[in-house]
Amino acid sequence: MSETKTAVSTQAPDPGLWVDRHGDYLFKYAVFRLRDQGLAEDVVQETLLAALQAYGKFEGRGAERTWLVGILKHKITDCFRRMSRERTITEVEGEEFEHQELFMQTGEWVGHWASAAEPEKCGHLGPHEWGATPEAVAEQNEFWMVFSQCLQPLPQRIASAFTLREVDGLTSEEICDVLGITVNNLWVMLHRARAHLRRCIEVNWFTAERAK
Amino acid sequence: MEATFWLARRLPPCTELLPIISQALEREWTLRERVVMRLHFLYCDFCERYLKQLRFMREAARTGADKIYEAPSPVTPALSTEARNRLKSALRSGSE
Repeated sequence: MSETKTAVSTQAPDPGLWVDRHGDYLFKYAVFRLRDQGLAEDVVQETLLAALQAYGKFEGRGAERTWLVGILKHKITDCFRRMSRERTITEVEGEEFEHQELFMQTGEWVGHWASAAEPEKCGHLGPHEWGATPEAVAEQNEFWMVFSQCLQPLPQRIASAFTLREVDGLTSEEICDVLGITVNNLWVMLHRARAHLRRCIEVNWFTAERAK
Repeated sequence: MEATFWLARRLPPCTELLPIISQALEREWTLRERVVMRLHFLYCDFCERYLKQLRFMREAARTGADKIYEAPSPVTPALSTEARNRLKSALRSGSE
């Protein structure tokens, strides 16, 4: 037992192998959060260089990828901090992602979910029954393709806030700190991201799945 | 139907309530908000379903989103050969 451990910890790291084994994963992870391939490549490079220097602390404990992702998370956070220092926001962009077209524009029911033009078909623009469980959906690669496609049109900062909150599970306070925004701005951003994503995956996944 | 309309006219419309519905995932509603939402949900199944779907998205995202980096996808491309080589040479000079 102790023999294997020594063997692993004295083994020289092969960063070239890291690139081959984990490069794509780390890069996609970073692109999904930073939404810029150039920036993503930079943080992956910073991550692997930091990993090289800290290799003695790793000692082959746990999975190599988990260890690298841990370092990458910190590098991504640093990158967000640098970006937020460069530009501060006073107003949240992306109001169109609240999809006002789904609601009644006039009349007594103004501001309520709109019924579609042909009520005899029971059509409406409100949320449809999805008829699936999160667990079942989460296992399908195609769902995640739709999900990341739906995030694309959102402004960078809104998509990043959403990912940090809903995928990474950071707290509101942590995200405000990293992105340099107020909690009220964060809530507006999350509302817009959720409103858009909900509608987009409903149309492109749930309704499309049923039509098959 | 008439009671619904009477109630709906006295409460904010869906467009004003949706930001608060989203905040249910961030904080606890105040007592006032809880009352308004309960009354609103009495006649608006859509908003109630909307809240369920926001929770659905969170649950799915926290359990399975790593599929995004595992599966090949046109949305999040893999490293190009050039990028791969750039990384390797940066690491070579970093390890010397």
